[in-house]
Amino acid sequence: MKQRITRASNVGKLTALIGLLLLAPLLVLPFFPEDAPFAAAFLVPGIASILLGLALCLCVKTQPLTMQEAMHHGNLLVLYIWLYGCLAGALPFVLGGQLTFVQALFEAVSGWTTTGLSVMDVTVTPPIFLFYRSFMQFCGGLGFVMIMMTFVQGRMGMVLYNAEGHPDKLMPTLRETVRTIVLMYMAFLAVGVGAYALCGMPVFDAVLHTMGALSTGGFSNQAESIGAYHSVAIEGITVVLMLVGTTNFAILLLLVRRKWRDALRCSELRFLGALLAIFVPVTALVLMTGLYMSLGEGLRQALFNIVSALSTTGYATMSYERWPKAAIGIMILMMLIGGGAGSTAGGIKLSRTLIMLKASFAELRARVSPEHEVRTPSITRAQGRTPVDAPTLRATSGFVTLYLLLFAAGTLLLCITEGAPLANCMFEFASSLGTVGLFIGLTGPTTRAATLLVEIAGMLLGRLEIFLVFTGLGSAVFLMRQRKHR
Amino acid sequence: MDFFKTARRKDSGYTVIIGCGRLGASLANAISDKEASVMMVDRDERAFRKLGAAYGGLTLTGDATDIAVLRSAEIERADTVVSVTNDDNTNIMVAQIARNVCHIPNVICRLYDPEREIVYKEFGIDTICPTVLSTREIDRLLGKSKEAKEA
Repeated sequence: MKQRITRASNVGKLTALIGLLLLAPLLVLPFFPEDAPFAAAFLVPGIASILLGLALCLCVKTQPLTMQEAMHHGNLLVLYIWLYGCLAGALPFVLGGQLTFVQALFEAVSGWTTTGLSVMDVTVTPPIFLFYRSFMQFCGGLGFVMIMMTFVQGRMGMVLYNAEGHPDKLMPTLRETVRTIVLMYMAFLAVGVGAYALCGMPVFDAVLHTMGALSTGGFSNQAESIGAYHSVAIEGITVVLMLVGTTNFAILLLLVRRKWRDALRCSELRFLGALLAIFVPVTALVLMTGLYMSLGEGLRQALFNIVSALSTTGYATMSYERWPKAAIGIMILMMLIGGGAGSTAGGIKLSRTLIMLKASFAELRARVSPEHEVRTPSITRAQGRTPVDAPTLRATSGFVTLYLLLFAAGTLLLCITEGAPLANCMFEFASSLGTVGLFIGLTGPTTRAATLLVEIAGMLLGRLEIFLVFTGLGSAVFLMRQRKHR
Repeated sequence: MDFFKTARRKDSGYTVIIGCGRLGASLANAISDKEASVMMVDRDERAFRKLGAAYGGLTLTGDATDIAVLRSAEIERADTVVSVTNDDNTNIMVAQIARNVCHIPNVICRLYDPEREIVYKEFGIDTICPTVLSTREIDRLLGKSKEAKEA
């Protein structure tokens, strides 16, 4: 039996996995019996997906592949499963009569990509759907391939793992790596729920908010997000959870092993600290002068919201519509930079930003130094010091350029579809592309479908790190051509 | 807190391979395919290209004659150390560290020069000598073709 599962095709396994994830929200039914009428909305797509997955397992034969073919298959498969997951994930909202199709698709994409933008009115939505949204984020933070690997593994495991964009190996086997990550994630979930509950948050809210913060997702069951609780302790816990969520899993493992010094040596963590040390006081100052806040209040708001934007979580303590433009600008900057590579966060990523900054300073320095002086900038990762060489630099600058191009294009498209001020469009699209989920009044239950579609594209591209979408399409072309030749 | 240690599953075995040449890489790929734990150490990062895309083990860049590098590869937890760099002296040294300092039960080592084999015998280190193996194999093939001729 086990042998059979391992040998079955990955397409089938992943499709069936989506079905299983769709069934998970039924677990809350015992606590909310009044939501029983909505069970069918989850059962139908869930079971259909599992059956489809089983059928694919039986029909698609796995054949031995060359390494190049395997890579193309991997890229295509990861792209497929994310698109399929978003489509299937939208169905419960439609079948449950909660949203229109485009809205449901938006909500599902926002969920799996751990964005947290929402078109639902959380005050009237049944709890089972609220749980479902947050659960999607919790799973999306890990990625479908990672979840599948927790249960079953097979050949091509490493190829898929790389294709989904997980850069780190923590353990000498893939199985152990995946299990360690999932275990850490679960442990933090338990700790987070406990901490929230201690501070007086209802348990259901605590589960949702911990899932949202750890996955840097940001769905809340309160209309005013974390701000609804008016509690410094809850805000503090959320800040810590968001920082955990945005930290690279390899660094988290160092922290869990209590190797503080090794962890503090990591460039990403230092850069995160530096960014916070600079921008929190600046934002506090802007808020104090612009909104006449006290020093304490200003620092508290600045810390929470900057961490929320930088970690690409998207919890808010207040509305941004009255914020001074300078503070909005800082928030957009934070959302563009984003969290740590190899975490659940989105954005350009801290390490890429750091590499680009280092390259810029190296260039400046080279211009004023003797011609033959050689310097190699390097960054320290959890695994050790790595030099910033030409291939790294090329990959990084390629990504950053594409990211900024997409940001510009998306912002302009939003300006056209929504006709809102440029700053608001920038804020909203930076939030989509970086899978953040903060909003400044553009996204809500009454938003037009065209705007939602632009944001859906932004979220998917952002979560799949842009290149995967294009390599997936490229791989599809390659495989089709090869089939023709045969 | 044992769960978060690098090589915790003693039963599946943890192999440290020194030298990511053709032999080291193909060995590492084979072990990784069996879902056992592998750590590959090489001083040149570019050597890791030889590992396949399906390689699920860890890599470490560093000079294996430096005991600090070996320690960060968690060599003490290994139950097999394979030293297959292209330099006999390096192999000897690594194998000796593994056997005498870290007390690894299985130490295997490649040796180009068959005359040095005697040194290893004394240390209780298993050696593989391509020269001797090739000689034996060629001898066998020659014998076979001779038999074929006579028959």
